[in-house]
Amino acid sequence: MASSIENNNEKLTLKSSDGEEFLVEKHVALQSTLLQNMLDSDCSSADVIPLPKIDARTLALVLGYCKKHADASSSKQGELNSFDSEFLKDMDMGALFNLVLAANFMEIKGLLDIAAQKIADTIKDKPHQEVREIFHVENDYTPEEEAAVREENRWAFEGFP
Amino acid sequence: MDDLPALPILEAPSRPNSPSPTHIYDLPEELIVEEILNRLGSVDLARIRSVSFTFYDFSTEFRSINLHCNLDSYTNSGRPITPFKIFATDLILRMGGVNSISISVEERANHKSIDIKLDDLHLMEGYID
Repeated sequence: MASSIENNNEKLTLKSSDGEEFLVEKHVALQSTLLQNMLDSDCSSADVIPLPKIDARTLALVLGYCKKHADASSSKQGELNSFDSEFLKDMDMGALFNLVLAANFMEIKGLLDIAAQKIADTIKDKPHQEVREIFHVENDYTPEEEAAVREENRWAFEGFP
Repeated sequence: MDDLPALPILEAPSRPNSPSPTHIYDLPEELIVEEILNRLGSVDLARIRSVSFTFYDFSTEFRSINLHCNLDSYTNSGRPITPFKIFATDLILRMGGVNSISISVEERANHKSIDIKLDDLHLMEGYID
């Protein structure tokens, strides 16, 4: 199998959790350490590689990222940075969470980093009430408990409502 | 593999009946803490304890303190400022197993009008309400 990995024209098929199949060039798939290890260990002899934790919409995004990064040379880092910013621009929080899960499962560190950073940047310097709205998290404190937690960390609320 | 029929490549299907969006609590705690919240400074982490009990628990998982001196917090408020020393002491007491503390300051080269007294970053002295 090692010799076939060197052939960039070879393709493999990935199947999402909801049954969509994607034909992918191997050099693109190799952006994923999980797939690389499968190919290295000859575990991918099946015609179709199932990815049961990743839906088609997310897998399409992941493969779009992988294709761009696989095709770009290292001398185009600025171009890749611009692509990464544009790639995540206007992406909703649910899609970002799916990307984090998929990148973690497929072991694509660069994608995991930019998606997680985007989420962190979204809540950075935000009031906790806004963080609840961004993440759709229910406030399970009583008013008294919330006030007590806030008082514990009073210095962290300087300049915040 | 060569005999496979033509398949869609990199095309996201339209799914009007797709399941409800993924929620942050659908992520493993390890990913939330180490990959997402770990990218925030300690002041943000302390503040988001007020989001929910679950976020409070997340905040106890950290072993490092990252304090960033934000220029806006000084220049905009004009109000008393709690010194970093108080932040760090408070965090150490609440976190239990702190392994490292890092302190940074926002680039101020272009902000000549800053009060010279701020140069000490309020590490040791300051005003407490």
